[in-house]
Amino acid sequence: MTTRYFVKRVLYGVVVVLGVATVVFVATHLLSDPARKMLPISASHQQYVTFRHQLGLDRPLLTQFWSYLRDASHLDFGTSISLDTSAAHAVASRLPHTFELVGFGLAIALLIAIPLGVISATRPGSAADSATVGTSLLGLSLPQFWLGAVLILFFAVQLHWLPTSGAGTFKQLIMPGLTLALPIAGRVTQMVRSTVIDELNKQYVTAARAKGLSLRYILVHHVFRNALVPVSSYVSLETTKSLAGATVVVESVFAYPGVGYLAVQASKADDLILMQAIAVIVALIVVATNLLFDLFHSVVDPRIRLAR
Amino acid sequence: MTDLPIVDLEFAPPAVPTGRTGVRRLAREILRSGTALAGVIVLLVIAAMAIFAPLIAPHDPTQIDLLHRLAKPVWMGGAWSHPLGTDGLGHDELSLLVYGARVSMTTGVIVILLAGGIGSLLGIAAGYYGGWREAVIMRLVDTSIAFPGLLLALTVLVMVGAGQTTLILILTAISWMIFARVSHSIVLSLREATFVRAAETVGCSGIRIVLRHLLPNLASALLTVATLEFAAVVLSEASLSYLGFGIQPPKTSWGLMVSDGQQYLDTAWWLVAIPGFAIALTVLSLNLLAGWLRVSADPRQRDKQVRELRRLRAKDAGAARVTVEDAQEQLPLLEVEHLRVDFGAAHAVRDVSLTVNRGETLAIVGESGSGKSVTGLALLGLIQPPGRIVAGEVTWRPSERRPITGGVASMIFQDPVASLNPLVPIGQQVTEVLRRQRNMSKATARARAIELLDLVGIPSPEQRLGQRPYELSGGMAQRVMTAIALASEPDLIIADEPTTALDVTIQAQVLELLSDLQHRFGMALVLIAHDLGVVAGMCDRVAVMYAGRIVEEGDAEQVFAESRHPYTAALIGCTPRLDRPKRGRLRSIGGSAPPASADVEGCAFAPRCPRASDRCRSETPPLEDGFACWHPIPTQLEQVEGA
Repeated sequence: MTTRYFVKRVLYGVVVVLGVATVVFVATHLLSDPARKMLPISASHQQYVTFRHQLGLDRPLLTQFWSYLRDASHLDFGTSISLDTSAAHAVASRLPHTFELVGFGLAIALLIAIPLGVISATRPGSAADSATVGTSLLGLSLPQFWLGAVLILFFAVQLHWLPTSGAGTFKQLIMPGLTLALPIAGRVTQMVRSTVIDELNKQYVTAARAKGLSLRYILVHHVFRNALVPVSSYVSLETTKSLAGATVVVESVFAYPGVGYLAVQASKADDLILMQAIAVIVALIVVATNLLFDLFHSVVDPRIRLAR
Repeated sequence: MTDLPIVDLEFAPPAVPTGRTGVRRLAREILRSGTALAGVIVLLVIAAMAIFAPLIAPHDPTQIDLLHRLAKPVWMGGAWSHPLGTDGLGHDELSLLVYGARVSMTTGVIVILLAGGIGSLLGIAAGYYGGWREAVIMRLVDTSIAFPGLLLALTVLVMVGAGQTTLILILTAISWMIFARVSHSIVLSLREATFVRAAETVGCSGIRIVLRHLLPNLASALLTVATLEFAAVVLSEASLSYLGFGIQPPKTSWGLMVSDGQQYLDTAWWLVAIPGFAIALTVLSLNLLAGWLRVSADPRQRDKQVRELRRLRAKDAGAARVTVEDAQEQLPLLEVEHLRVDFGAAHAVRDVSLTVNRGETLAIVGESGSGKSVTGLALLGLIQPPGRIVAGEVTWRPSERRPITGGVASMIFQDPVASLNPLVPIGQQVTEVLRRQRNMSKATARARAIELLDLVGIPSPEQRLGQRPYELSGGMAQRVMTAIALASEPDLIIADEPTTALDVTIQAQVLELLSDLQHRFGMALVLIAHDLGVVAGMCDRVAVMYAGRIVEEGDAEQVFAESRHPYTAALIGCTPRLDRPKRGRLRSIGGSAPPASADVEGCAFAPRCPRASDRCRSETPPLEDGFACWHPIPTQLEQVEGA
């Protein structure tokens, strides 16, 4: 049962990556003309024909698709036009920064969200609860690029406490991390709150109270375990959303040299090869992240891998 | 072992506003709710800005005026000709903002209409047809959700070329899935719903029912999702435009305004602050409205509970009315006097007085909703807001002074599987009582847990310790619950319909176990049941409950042989007896009990009672001599004397 569950999850991940690769291929080869896009406007027709041939764009579409998939399967996407290095290497060299940012951002978000959500859920309707719900709603409504700009205005321009851009030091991580974290913290707080309220209304909690156990004990030993899977599923969603979206915005605001900023640079340079590499590699990371979360959930709740 | 003949089908469809009256009601409720009203007003203002942009904007937003570039807004000493100042190229900020609203709103509305239309149609089709169509559609949904959304959007936007049309198509492509998921799950749940099944069995056509109930349910859920997604689309549009891949100049967008303003952050911060504020305000209003819509459409009406809670802290739930005193020779173990429990406006328990002596078995019987279970919880002080003990006293006099829960009394519930934590090994669920309440060491607690599991008849208990509740049958789970109840060596166990959720063959075993343990340990037992057949053989005394009151109470044999209250007599009349010859049809009691929310004047049973008089309808009979009735059924002795 267990193996079957994981084989299924892995196959499913492969389908997702294939799907992304296909969408990217269709967008590059069918909906646009990559050679025309990547060449300067001044390029002659002869240059255009030669370049098309160089990239293999004059071959039948299916042949191109096949060789694209085959190369992509060993992470070979060709040479980036704008950076003049292997596209895959360019992405790989930026990945650690993005991982650092996402890890740090999520850590801050969870450190804020879990205590607030639990406190809120145990006192529904109280002033603390209303304040938490209101603040988290405000937090999740803030556009990240704006939040980033506001932080720069205060902590870099006015106070000169933190650098506006770059990566490598902890100081440079603080503002991008906060910008990424605050909206996530808002959403996770609400999620934790409603999950814990749901759990506290369940029969096993009444039964635990009938055993004379304290609310604190029940929260730590009973509710925690049951709330873990739904909350963690939601956090996995936030993680993938961060990897494949929020970091693009946040890294651009702070010129933070991660994969998201690389994607924007590649787009501005019309570097389609690099863009393809980024899309497929990020899809791969997203799928791997989801697999890790699935594994974790099935350890916490064995029913998950036993069902169906 | 038959249930009482009570109409208990879940026939009522979920209450959802339909048609014009629904819209009117929605409008009225929005007016009443502060947050929703604030959200709606902001959205209306922004919508008006979008629609009447050419009338509102004081300038042409594309007009470059280098002489008046970076003008300050009015409140910082700027001129009224540019109320919000100008940007780096002298564009009028207010005009940009107004036209930006237009872009934001049109993008949002079109994307939501497209994504909502496509998504909900696919979701409904999947739920309605089932089979391979469902599998294909829902697989597609799952796969699309796993796509790296914004990054893929960015890639496609770059390849195909940015612009509002491409942006709309791409945002549609990444947001239709949620609509499909929601509508699919609603159609599914409706197909399975009891009232649809029931309506089908009485001959209504399936499609008509699904349509009639589907549309209102779907409408309210989709409205919530659409509002939330609208907020997400506004944010995505702004983000992509900010990055330079969304709306292209000369068109304007709030995101574009922020990115243009960013280079003047240290000199003209308002160029970033104003459009950012507009985005945040729009998104916040949408989220507020969505949150309100979700809660107001929630059939469980969690928010009403929350509002109730605001007036009622947990410590005010009346727990102080449950007290422990030292044991006294002549006095019973447990005494309950005029207990009243309200849940919000509903009166779950209206007036209950009873006593339980050491070692005896008291059965509390009554139909569902008569307040038996709430009484049980109240005895342990476990009523939680919005519930509250509003009057009465519960006094315990245990042999040894200790806390009520985890000490004097234990409780066994109706659904054993739901009462055990699904993710915690059963061993731990037994030992935690021993360790927390009786301060046993880990090893002692484990040994004692094995003894207890053995005691309740669980084979090879050592191996069971590590199992989780889903690995147990219902009967086994109830035995585990019993072991947990025994762990604190209580003076009394309250068993709330301990066998209702179990197979008939298991029911007798569990009852036998309870009875056996009770005799062995000399505990008192309060057995809550809706089934007279269950309790008849094993209790010393019976209390019959009706609409939150005890209507008859006394020695079990006597109550059964010679019931005085017409309700008790009717209950006994409609219990099938295997030991008597068949005498025609099984009787049932006409009518139904008053809802807990009703204020009952006089005897609650009067409307269904053949013996009722005018007095019954105006004066509540007190519980005297074991029954609460103005016109009790005469005893045999009285009948003889009267004859």
